[in-house]
Amino acid sequence: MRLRLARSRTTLVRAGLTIALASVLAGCDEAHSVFHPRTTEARRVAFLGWLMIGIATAVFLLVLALLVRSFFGPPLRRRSAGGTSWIASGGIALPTTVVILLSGLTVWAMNDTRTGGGIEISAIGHQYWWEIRYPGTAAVTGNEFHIPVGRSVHLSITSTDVIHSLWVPELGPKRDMIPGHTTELTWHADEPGTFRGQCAEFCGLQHAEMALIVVADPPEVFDRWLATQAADASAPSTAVAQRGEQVFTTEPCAACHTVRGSVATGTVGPDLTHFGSRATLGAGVLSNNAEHVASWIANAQSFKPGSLMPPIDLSADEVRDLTAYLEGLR
Amino acid sequence: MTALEPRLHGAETAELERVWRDRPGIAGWLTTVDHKRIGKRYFVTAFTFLLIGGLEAMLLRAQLASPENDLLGPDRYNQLMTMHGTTMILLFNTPMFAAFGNYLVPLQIGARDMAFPRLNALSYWIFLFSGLFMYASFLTGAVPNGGWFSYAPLTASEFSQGHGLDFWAIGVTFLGISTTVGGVNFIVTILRMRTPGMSFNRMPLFVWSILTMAMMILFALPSVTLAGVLLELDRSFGMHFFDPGGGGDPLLYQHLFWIWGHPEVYIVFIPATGIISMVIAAMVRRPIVGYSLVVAALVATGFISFGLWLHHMFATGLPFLVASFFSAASLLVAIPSGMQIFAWLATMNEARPRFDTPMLFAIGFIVTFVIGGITGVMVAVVPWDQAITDSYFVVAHFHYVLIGGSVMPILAGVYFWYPKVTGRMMTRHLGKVAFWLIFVGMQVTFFPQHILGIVGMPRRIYTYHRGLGWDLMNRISSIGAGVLALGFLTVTADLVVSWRRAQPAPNDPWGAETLEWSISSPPPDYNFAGYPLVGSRQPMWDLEPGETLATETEVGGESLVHDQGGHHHAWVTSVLDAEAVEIVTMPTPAYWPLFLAFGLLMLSVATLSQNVVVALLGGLLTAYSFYRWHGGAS
Repeated sequence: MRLRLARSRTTLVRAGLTIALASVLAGCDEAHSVFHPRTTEARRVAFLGWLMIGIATAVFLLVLALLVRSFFGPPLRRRSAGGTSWIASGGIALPTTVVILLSGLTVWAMNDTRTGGGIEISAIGHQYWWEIRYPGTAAVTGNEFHIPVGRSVHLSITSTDVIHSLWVPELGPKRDMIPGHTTELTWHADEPGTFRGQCAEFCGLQHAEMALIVVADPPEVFDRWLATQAADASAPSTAVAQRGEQVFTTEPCAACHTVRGSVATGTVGPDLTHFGSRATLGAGVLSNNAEHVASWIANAQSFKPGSLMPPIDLSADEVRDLTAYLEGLR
Repeated sequence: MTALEPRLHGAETAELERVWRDRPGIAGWLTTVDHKRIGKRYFVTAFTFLLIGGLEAMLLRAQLASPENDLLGPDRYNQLMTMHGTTMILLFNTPMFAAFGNYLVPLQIGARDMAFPRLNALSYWIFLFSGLFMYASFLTGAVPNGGWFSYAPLTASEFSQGHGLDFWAIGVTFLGISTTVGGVNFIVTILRMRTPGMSFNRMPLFVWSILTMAMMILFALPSVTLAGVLLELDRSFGMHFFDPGGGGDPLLYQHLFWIWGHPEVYIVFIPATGIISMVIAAMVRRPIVGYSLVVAALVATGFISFGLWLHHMFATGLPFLVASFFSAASLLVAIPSGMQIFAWLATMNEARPRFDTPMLFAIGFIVTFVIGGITGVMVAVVPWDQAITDSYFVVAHFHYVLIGGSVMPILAGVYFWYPKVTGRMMTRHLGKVAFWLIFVGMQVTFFPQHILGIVGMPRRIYTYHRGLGWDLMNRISSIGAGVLALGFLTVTADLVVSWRRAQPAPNDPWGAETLEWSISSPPPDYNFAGYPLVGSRQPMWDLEPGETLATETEVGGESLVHDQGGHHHAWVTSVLDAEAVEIVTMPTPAYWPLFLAFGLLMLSVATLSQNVVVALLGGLLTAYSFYRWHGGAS
């Protein structure tokens, strides 16, 4: 009986270790992890994180050792002083040291990283998508935007409806998007890459489906991208796409969406001027291809119930034309 | 020193029994002001809410067990997520300490009842009614869905139509009355009703913890009441406190909510440490090392907890100086917490502990809470917090703190005092099974959530896409939740089975130190026939083997046992030193607390439905109950 107990305890410990190991491996492997920093700001966070996990493990093991000592070790004799030396050392001296160390590091890591000559970006939260503007240019995009590597990226952040929060783990701290307030965030990306983020403040029914993609480009690639985004949409070249534009501007689409260079100037939904260049639609709900666009238009509510995009009643031909038009907006 | 009687028997206490006994049947049930009956009621009600909140959690974990799951839609998920948090904090955790405090404080300080028995009954009825009020939302289909924090402007009428959020805002405001009057009652009871000789420096640590909790309630509660009232004014009366379009500010709501919300964490943690101090001392049979330091730590935690609320708002973009101040203050809490942890460790190392179920939960508490405390230190560091806040890392952190730091102590307390309350020992093995299920289930459920947060999974999402690297950890977490649920079901079964079947309990099954162990299990209606004489912090440990605690049954020639004239008599003493004992006449059972609570319920329903007739009737009933408050039993 005792033997079996001992064995089950070993199994338990082993299972625990396996889980812990699997967790750590999964953590390292993951692309959008806080421990996969790609900006100066995110590196500070990751450094603090690892340091604190180290301290945490040490403190936890100390407590565990004293706990186990009480089960098996010889009883301590209470000294005339009152036996309070444990409280003084473990309960006061130890946390005080940690507190002073971490306070100092906090102040260091909070230091403003903003440098001159950077690029300004304005991020505006909506239920449930992201509007991104590049002040000083005509560029407006949604749910996907680019930043230059090696330059200071300064974001001004706000919201038009409820509170959202802009969080791209690999790029650093998050910032709440609060209606009536403008908050700020600075990134210094140090290598190219594509990073996924997601809204972090509960914002209603589709808080779960409010993802965003940030692409860090080498400066010259970024400049080209920004110039493209700032330009108006080029006129549709094929007959199908021309009919699609017709559908877009006569049907309800144009009431909510803008395509710069056309008569569509709605502002309720994302700007679609360069929609075809984006990887996803519906703020990350579906990947962007003709088939998905067609079913999204027919009934967005079946993919993202509660979003403001209503079901649109179009004929199969109209849907085909419209899809061709949208996919051509590059 | 007159009439020193070691113990009164039979005929001598017959009059006391008659005077203090409640009326039989339903009338006695509805009118009782007995702190023990009210405490038990608080326990059963709060425990029921724990099971309901747990069931909601199981549904949430079932939904998240696999990616792109459609077990619950977004709306149902948000409702259950909101009600899970609201239930666990407001309807289970806080009232559970009202249960412990109500039952134990008078017994531990050698009193016959709480200072304001009718107020005590009122606070229970309001708790029950506000819980039922919030859950009535499920009958209407309009369930609160703005999260337990209900941030404006998401919860403004523009973005949350229907009555769901009204149930929340009115319910929280209504419940606040219960918590507040409960806090007042604890403070006055502890300051004035202590038995002679129990000076401040001889109070049991549990009593200190309840006193600290009650003081915190008094200062913290008004803030959330204000948040609830202003939110309801915005919603129902078209005001703009939190509406930026009308000159309001959504951040004002967050400040008001967290000025209460952060101390609230300590309101449910501090009394838990009180329980742990009692359990460890009894199980090690040594007084807690550094009594004065532990008291200082309790009070310091209470104070510091009021200077931390902004750390819930680090991501709102605070100025550098403000953020660093609140960061340092948040880190500071590690010191009093560390002091308590090391006081317990030192005590346990003075003698080999016995591993009864209460001790297992106390050990489980130390292990789990230390992890939660450490991650708490991590989130106090601003840049780390800004990266990790509103992610599953935070979900993991506060479940470690709340389950480890509050629920496990509650279970330790349940197993510790069950014999005193019911007169029955608990079964020998079920408790240990429950402990291991809960301890292991807790770690398996919540440890992986740290990692989920680090790899980018936000809180409060009803679904997630396949292939984001979140699948495995979510699956493990959901399996752990099943084990955890099994553990709580085992506790529930143990409570019921032991109540019907188990061995009768002696007065003092654990050989513990405080006054409640000097009287029978369960205690008589009047608690103590005379006031116990206290000469140290451990009155029960001062006795020779076989000796019983002496009580004094007369004050200035007036008997506390005979010729009571149908009155509830109790004794009061001075605030600091518990001297100058006097006899006071206490209120007797009455319907007015119930009627007053019902009148307030009607007012809540009227605010929700904007019904003038119900408002008028509720107002009248409330006013009349106030008017008759001091009157007789019926």
